[in-house]
Amino acid sequence: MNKKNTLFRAGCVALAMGMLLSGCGSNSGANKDNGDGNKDNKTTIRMSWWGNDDRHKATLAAIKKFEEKNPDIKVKAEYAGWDGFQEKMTTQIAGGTNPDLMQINYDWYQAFSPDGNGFYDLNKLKSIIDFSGYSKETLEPGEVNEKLNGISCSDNGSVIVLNKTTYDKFGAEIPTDWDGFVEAANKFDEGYYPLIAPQVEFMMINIYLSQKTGKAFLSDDGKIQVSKDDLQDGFDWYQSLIDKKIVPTGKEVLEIAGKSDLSTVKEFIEGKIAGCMTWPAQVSSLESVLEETNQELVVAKFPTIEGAKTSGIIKKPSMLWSISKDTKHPKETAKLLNFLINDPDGIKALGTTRGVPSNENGFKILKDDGKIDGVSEDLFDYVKNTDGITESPFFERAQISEVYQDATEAFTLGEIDSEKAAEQTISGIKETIKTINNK
Amino acid sequence: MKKEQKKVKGKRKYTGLIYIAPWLIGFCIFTLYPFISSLVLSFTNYDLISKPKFIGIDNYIKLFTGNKEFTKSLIATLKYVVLTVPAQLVFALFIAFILNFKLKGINLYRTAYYIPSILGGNVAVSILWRFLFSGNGLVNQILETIGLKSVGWLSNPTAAMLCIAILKVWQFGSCMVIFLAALKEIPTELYEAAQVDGAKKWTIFFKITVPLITPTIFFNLVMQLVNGMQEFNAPYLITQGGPLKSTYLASLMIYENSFKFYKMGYASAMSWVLFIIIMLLTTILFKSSNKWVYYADEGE
Repeated sequence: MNKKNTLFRAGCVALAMGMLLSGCGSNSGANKDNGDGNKDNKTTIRMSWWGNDDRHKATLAAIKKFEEKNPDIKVKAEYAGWDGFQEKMTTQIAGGTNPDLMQINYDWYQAFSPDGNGFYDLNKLKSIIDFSGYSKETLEPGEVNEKLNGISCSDNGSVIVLNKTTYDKFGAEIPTDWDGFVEAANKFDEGYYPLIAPQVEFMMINIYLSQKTGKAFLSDDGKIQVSKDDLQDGFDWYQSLIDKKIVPTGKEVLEIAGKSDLSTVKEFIEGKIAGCMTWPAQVSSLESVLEETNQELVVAKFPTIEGAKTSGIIKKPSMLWSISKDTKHPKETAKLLNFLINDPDGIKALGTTRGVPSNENGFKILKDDGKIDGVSEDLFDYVKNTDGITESPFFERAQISEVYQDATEAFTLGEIDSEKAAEQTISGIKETIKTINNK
Repeated sequence: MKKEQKKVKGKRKYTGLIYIAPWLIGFCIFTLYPFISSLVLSFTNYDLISKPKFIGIDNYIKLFTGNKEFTKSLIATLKYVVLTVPAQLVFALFIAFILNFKLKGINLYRTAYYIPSILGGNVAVSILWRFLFSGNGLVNQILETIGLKSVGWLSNPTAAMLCIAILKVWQFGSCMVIFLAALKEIPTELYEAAQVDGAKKWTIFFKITVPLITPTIFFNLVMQLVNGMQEFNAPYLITQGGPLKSTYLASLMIYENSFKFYKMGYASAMSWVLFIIIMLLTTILFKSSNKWVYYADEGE
């Protein structure tokens, strides 16, 4: 009896140990698959991106097409929403477990690849990836220290999109200037707003300032190029938008949207928030949620103030594709990247879910296919043909954006006045840039 | 005979180790190693990408000088704990007390009340919470129908803290289950005797029930205190620390500093300060427990 008991216990332990070991075993096995290919000689490469549902679907479809054409390569997709993606990416890069092909936000190069060695130099893969559709300017954002760290997905500039259905409902014209917005706001019922800019209120202030001063807010090395008085004026200007009921109050913005993605916000889907400031790559997801209820989204010109020095469009590189510097399969990964940016099947599958392609060949393919129409064509025309200002990569760095977002939040909630907001923004950013540069 | 026994004893020492090996290995890899490395990193300027450089106690000095953000965050965390822990314990005990009655379909109720705890602070719950507490959400609609003013749950700093505190209190299930088990342990003779003596319901509750479950109250108190000090999900998912940093709890600040701002060394220092504070509070609780916790088998 006793003996049996001991045996039983030993068996349990053995089983537990076995499970533990096999757990480790299968893990390392999986890694090996990534490394050396598994039994049927398939190479597995990993690819990651962030986005909304429509981008996920399109990208998965593109991957499927790619796998059909390249039966020897298997692509493992890792995708999620924007929220928390940077944190995930950071841990992966720090731990050396990052995927082979990654969608990267332009300000990450500063932290992940300050000297250009943080990612694979795409110039070395020129034999596989065709860059002929890219102009010098579109390649520039991905270049760090003369190494091509990434290739930009699309042209990117701040845009305003409006829900035409709501504007029509109240008999308001699509505004072309700020007076037009005032008029629309007057015609709208209580609870309806012509425009919202959750989390990007400061971007709107920045656009106003760029029109006023003709300069970007931050220089490439992170110096503030706008005077305190101008900045204070910018905050006052935003308050005037609130006063005229063009945008909701700070309190309302927090209640309506907070930091959620606008395409998931009830008031936006219902058409109560009839417009927003956003980026081209987001437009297709906003468009698709409105389409479900037969509402129409249109691109509007960013209104200019009197005596504006620029059109006031803020350009920034969009998301970029980068290849891991530690990839064991540069060739296969390059093939996949080339498929996504140059192959007609890849381009058609992706559509405009990452904005309208920077690659001119890609643009032509989409246009011939009829994929670029209405909103996306307007977007493309607007972004391509409007002069604007390119904002420094420092501008969107989490540490910096935290400073101006906090100040804007305190200002729009009425905690501090415009002078204090301007002061707080300038001193906060100066201090942060100092700590970043001290590294 | 004796010799043999000794031999077995010697062997048993290692057998024991083997038995707990699965736990021991997991503990070393997933707890001990990160624990020690975070202590080491807290004395460096590690930024996740480049090699860490030793900078002494600079991180710790920076925590309590400068813009006082960390102090503010600690105060917010303490506020959160003070708001949630007592409320959760009282609520859990109350529900457990009710669920201890012999009612029809009681198991169904027990399960139903436990569900919020299983849901935890996940994304779906956070969306539900935003929905309930938004400007014209259900909570405000109810407040308005009963003639009260609606509250800016997500835009008013005080209300936002309440909003995430309510979520925590709502997840009283695991506390409740432990209380329920303790209540069932109380011998019914005691109640019967009290009833015979003519004691009122409330007297019975405070003179018999509460003293007998003080060990359980103590256990739940410590667990909830530690959990509350480390709360991350609710502020991260619902308020993102806002408005005006009112719900920027310590864990959220540590997370943002390490993974968003790449200040891993600085964030490690924060975690250690938080750890020490939790340890101090727990020690105080343990010290105080002599005064108010009664163990049934004491003094025998």
